[in-house]
Amino acid sequence: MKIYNVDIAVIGGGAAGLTAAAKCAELNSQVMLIERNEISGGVLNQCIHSGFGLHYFKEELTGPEYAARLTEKVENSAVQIMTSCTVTNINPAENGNILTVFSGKYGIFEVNAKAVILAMGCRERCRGNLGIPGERCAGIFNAGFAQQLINLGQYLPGKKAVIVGSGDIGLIMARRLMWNNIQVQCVIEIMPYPAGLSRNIAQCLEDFDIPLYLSHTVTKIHGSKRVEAVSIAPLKNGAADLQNERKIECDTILFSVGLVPENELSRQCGIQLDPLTNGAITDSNLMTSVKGIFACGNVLHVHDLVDFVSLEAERAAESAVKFCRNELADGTFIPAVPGENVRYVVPSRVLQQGHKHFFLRSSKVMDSALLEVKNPSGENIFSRKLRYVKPAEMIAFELEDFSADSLEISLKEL
Amino acid sequence: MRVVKKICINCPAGCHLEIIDDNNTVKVSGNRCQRGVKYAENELRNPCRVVTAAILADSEPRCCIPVKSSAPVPVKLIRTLLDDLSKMRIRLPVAVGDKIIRNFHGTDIDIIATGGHE
Repeated sequence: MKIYNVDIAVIGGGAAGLTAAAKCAELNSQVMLIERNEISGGVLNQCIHSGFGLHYFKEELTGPEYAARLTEKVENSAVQIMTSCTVTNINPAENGNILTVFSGKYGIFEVNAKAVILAMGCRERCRGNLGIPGERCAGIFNAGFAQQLINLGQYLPGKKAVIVGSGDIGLIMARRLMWNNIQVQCVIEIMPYPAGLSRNIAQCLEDFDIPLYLSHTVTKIHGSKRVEAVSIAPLKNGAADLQNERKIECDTILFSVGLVPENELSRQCGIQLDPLTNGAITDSNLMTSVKGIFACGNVLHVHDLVDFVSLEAERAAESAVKFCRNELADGTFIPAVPGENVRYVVPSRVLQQGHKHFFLRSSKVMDSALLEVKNPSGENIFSRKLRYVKPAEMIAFELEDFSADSLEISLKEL
Repeated sequence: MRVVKKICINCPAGCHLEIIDDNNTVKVSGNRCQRGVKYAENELRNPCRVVTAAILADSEPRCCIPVKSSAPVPVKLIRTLLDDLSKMRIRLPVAVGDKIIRNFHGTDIDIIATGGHE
């Protein structure tokens, strides 16, 4: 069996993987990028709308354009790109991780990598996860899959749709369906606030007079061979208020109900996952609980802006390169824990010395909030006033050297 | 004189604008940058949106070329543009940046490929 020896193996050729691989090559490391699809780009290829790259490229680009910029960088570098290749196993070891890779093109081969960067992205939660009563009729799609059908093939999923979930994927698809002459009856959202960006509420719902029903849930899917309608009900005290249940006619349902990081490989090789993010627990070097294995992008935690994915991937690449050269910053890692109104913090363990990047998400919508980083005695290490805080928008901040046994990161409503 | 509430779509911030339309003057508040003011004025007089679409290529196997308008398109022309695009079949090869339609309906707006294909 053929064995490739490399410094760094990057698993996944989407936004995170492409950025990480390009960075590794830029820093003169020998890197292989392994992507299961025929072409790289990941989900960017199907995101044909614009809104990407404002931070990273200082330009507003569509998904495919963003992917093309990254792919060009990779193709003009020394990165060895292996497409149509799937990593099926990671065997971590002191002197080099062995990856087993399956492909139609090359058969089965192994990659011996000093360091590995995980960049596998996410897949979608589906109707089955929600346990909605009804039959398994035709016409039920995940929003991302419907996006792939329309944007990569102009296959239209139906004529009259209901969208479940007001995250950005659902909102973007509301506009995409309307632009393709598919009537969108409404968007249903279980929370009392929209899950996606306000900008998308405006340009995807308000522009088309599509009603958004907040604090509503889907109680049944009607139809046998094909969807005929959905029943929805408002939430009352956390449960469906069936007294006010109503039926909405449709032949298509799009579910936009959350993304799940694809961590099969991570679990298989013993990496510890954080139940708050469904991604690996990492330290401020973006290293997982397995030495020499790093993670970045959506597989680590679900991002809103691809620009932040690229910035995170660059940092993972820098760490992986340092690790290969035995130059990775070491020391005592102290815990960084989410406090009041914070759903999660990445990373969970940080070094006291050095420059550190943090990402966090609020668990509450707040007009004004004070981001506070405190030590166990309650003393303030860092604080910043924030406006328009919402769970849908990730918050980033940086810290320099500090001294504390642990950090608590919280958002105080003002 | 009327008060209009609009969310600015220029960037992910999505500022909630309050626009006071008083015949010739427009007063804007709620914007976190100057682009919000221009956006508010345009929304009242001539709302425009960047249009993106996937156009079928004239080839087998079936594939699509993603495109975008080079500038925001007046809202009243969007349906016409989308209908025209849905009838087109693009001849391959296509490169990112290729102009698929030039000067759509005299607007000076081009429709540009955002993805390439052999």
